[in-house]
Amino acid sequence: MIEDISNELHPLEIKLLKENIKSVDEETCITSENQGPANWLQLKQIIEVTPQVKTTVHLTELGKKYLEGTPEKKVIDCIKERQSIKITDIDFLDVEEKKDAIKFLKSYDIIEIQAGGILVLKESLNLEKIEVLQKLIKDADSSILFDELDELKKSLVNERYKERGKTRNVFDLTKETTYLIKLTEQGKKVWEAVQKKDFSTDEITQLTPEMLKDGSWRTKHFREFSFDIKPRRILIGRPHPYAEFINEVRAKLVSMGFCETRGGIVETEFWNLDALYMPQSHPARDVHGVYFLKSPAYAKTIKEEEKFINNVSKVHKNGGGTGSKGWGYEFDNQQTKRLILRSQGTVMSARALAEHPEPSGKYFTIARCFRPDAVDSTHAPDFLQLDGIVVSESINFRGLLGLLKLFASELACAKEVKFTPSYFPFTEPSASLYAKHPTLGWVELGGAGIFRPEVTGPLGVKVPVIAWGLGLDRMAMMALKINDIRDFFSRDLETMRYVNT
Amino acid sequence: MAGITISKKDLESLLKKTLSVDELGMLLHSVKGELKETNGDELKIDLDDTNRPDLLCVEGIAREIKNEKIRKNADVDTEEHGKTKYQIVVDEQIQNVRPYIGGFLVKGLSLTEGGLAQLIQTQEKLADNYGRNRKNISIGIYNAEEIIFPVSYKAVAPEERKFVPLEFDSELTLKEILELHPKGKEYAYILKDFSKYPLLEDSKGNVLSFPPIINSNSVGKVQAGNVNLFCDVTGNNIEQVLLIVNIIAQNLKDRGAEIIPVEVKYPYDTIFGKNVVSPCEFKEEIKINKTDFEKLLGLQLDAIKITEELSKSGYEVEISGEQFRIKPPSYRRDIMHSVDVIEDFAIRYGYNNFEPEELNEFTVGKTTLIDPVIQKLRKLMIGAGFEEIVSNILTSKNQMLGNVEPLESIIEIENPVSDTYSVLRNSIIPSLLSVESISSKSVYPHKIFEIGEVVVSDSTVDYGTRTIVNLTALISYPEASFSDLHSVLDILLYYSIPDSKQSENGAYVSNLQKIEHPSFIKGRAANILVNNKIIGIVGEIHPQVLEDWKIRNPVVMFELKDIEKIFVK
Repeated sequence: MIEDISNELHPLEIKLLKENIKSVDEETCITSENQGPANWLQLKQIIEVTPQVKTTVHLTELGKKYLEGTPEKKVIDCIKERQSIKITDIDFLDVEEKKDAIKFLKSYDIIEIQAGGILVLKESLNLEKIEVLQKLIKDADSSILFDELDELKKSLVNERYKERGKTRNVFDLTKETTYLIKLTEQGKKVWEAVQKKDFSTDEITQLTPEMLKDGSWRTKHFREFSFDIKPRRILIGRPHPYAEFINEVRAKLVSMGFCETRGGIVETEFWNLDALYMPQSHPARDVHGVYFLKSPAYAKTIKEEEKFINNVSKVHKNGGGTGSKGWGYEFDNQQTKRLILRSQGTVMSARALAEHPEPSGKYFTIARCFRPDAVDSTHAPDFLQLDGIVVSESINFRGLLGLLKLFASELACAKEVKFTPSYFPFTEPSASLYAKHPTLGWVELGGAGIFRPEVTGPLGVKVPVIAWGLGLDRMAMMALKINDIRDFFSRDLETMRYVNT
Repeated sequence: MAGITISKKDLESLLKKTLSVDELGMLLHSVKGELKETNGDELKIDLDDTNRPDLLCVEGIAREIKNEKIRKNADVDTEEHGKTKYQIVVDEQIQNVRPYIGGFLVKGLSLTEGGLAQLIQTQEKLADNYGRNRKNISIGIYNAEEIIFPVSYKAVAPEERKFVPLEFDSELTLKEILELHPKGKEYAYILKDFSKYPLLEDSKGNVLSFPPIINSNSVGKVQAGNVNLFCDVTGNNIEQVLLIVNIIAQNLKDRGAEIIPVEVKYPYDTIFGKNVVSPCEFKEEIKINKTDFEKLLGLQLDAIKITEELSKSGYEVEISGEQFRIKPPSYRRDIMHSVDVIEDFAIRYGYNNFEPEELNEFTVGKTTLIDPVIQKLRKLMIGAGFEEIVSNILTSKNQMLGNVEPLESIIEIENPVSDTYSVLRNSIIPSLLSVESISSKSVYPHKIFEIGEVVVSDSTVDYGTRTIVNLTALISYPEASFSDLHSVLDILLYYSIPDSKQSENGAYVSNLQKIEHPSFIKGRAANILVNNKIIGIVGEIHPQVLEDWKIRNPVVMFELKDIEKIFVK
């Protein structure tokens, strides 16, 4: 134990122990130069350190001038010589010095001022203060410790030491901290071990390329490290936890055989709503349901839509031969061109179907969506949705539930799931997926269903399509244990650095 | 989604049994409802299916979750049709204002305070939710004792007639009602384009109501204890009007009242003819094969079982061979396709009674082409010591300080909820500066980057805009310098530009071309060129921009625009 401690000592610590402490019981004073190693030794409980403040008295420039005699002494000598002197006749001092000297002499009760400004010495003359001061000035020329002075001298120093802003003073004080060090009981043993230790081989901290080159490392003694010391904090490059979560989800879907699709944020009402069989007067399509573009407000041309617009318009009107009676209204070909911000990830499923109507296909998208909701802890101004479809001859409702169950276990690690009936304008039957969370209980993960024939028919799809959408933000909040959706976006760096997943 | 409040006791008396809250929660799933809150007897329920106005009331929910065959006996008695002595006569001029009306009489209803409150809520929910704030549907309920039939439904000039509206004590013209009455002010928008307004009066000239605004304070005032009522529904679509008549009639019938139909005589043609009796049957029939059920659901089914379950949902079912001929109940018009009926069966069957089936389609999974590029760039930036940022795309014009893109190319939202989220960002530079502006207390150095979507104007494409992915990086600390970031940019391009060559000192030969840009210090901004094409911008941010953002340290940034175009071959 003691051996370990003494092996791990830093060269500076050893130097301090060897050079500054001569015997186990000695108390020594060290200066601030050695404060570093002294603190390390204190942390290791080898020594006790008591800081001590030492105040030294020096002379100011003025003080040095007074070595040959203070103004007060000069005034006294002059009065002694002439019995009395008129203040205006004192010509050997400058105005300030004369004023100070008279002030001090009066306060020491040495002189009195008679009518006509004539100074005379008092009868009971006590010149002790003047003499002591002169002596003090002489001593202070080679600096003296304030604490070693007697009370009278201390009061004289206090009377005339230079404070900030006061220039006409004699003394200057400097404060210096020294450290009284003393070995602890454990420290005494370490000290003894250090004394016995042979440091004739060089103790080194850092192995250098030169040592390796010339082989001198063989004769070196490597200082051992203490592993109790906390390392310095560093900053590193780091992926954003939310981006990482999204990447994991993407990888899972690819591993299940899904193909990713991407699209623009600005969409037409056609793809976002009409192709998904939402009637043009549907409440989800008004100013509270979707964001409209100010300019351009409408698509100039709709090349991609044109192929399907007749079918979609008929299906809305009368079912267009899909076996549906339709919504029973005249489709507005201008409204369908209205530009909006993508309000649901399902729009990408409609586009994927239009592009790949043949079975078998599995597609997914991770799409930024926008809805005019007020922003709060669960509603971000824009949010990601995970949507997808399976186009297959043999798919049915049981297959849909099977896929949802797979998602719950793969994407949310849920062991228990349940399904409830749900409503979406574009799927029938529709279901919601719930997963059992260990602490939150049943949590809704998303919705799904079999696309209505009114959706698939106009896009030229002849087989069933199951469609699903999962609330990515909610899943991420659960996975990353975040209660406020806004914490994912635009927070200060320090807060983000502490998000640990 | 709509929310309603019902009384648990009321629901239980309609169901003739008591329920625990848990049982109720389960049962509500079958009407696509969720119990949001219970407060003593009061239950707050959210309903999902916007096509089912019949479920926006306690009676409708009770009907659906009762799990009993409910068709024949409980439905409105249609025997009376055609020989009813009660009539509404429609005036020709109403055709251009609010052309359709339907109604019925209620006899022998014991209307309690609670029952009245429910009736008023149903009336409001149907008119506000389904009827789009009374624009498409409005409903009036009156004390039938005081009405002398026939009732006439006509269009009158705004100042032609006066009556005392509900909750008032003096007569007002229709024009005054729109200006002075709270309901008048709320719903005046519906009539703003018309020079004549709808009015309903009895044969003695007593005003029943001013649809869709307000009832009269006399016959139009229904109180608990009233036994005989008259109800009318007006609107712009006769199918919607009749559906709502049917729903309300069915609700009151479920409460034990007798419903007496009323005949509406139109001077003009409707899809149901000139004389339309309401409540009515829609007489629509859907044919579904047993295999349709089986194929869609993945089940082997018994025809008897299907019939039994569907009749619990109010369907009238006839089987001929393998085919079902199905009539939906009169209070539903949401059945557009056989899949709607099949879902109703699946719900009765119980979603959790299906055995989930594993998917056995083999397909090859792939990401989009840009994804590997994004992942590569992320890894390089992180390797260079940068912390990744994810920001929102929706922002405000005020947050575009120091933007490198022209302000006029920002795409604006026509109907923002607030100014804070009213435009789409067209560059990531403001997003990262905004992170800096709130991170002055975060330990330095700051090295951050974001790879994300921005939306830019482009008049050459169909939608006038393009969504592109940019990569933007920022360094900030007291000694941050251009050369810090230049090295990062250089090595990043070396590893990501195909066939890139190293120069003698090992760096990539990136080509920078000095430009002047107000966001950067003069002489310290440059376009980044690859193969003589501008791919982005790099430089030291102007102190004025930093001051505007309240950023206290120098900032150097680069932005690579449309990385798909740059890096995807």
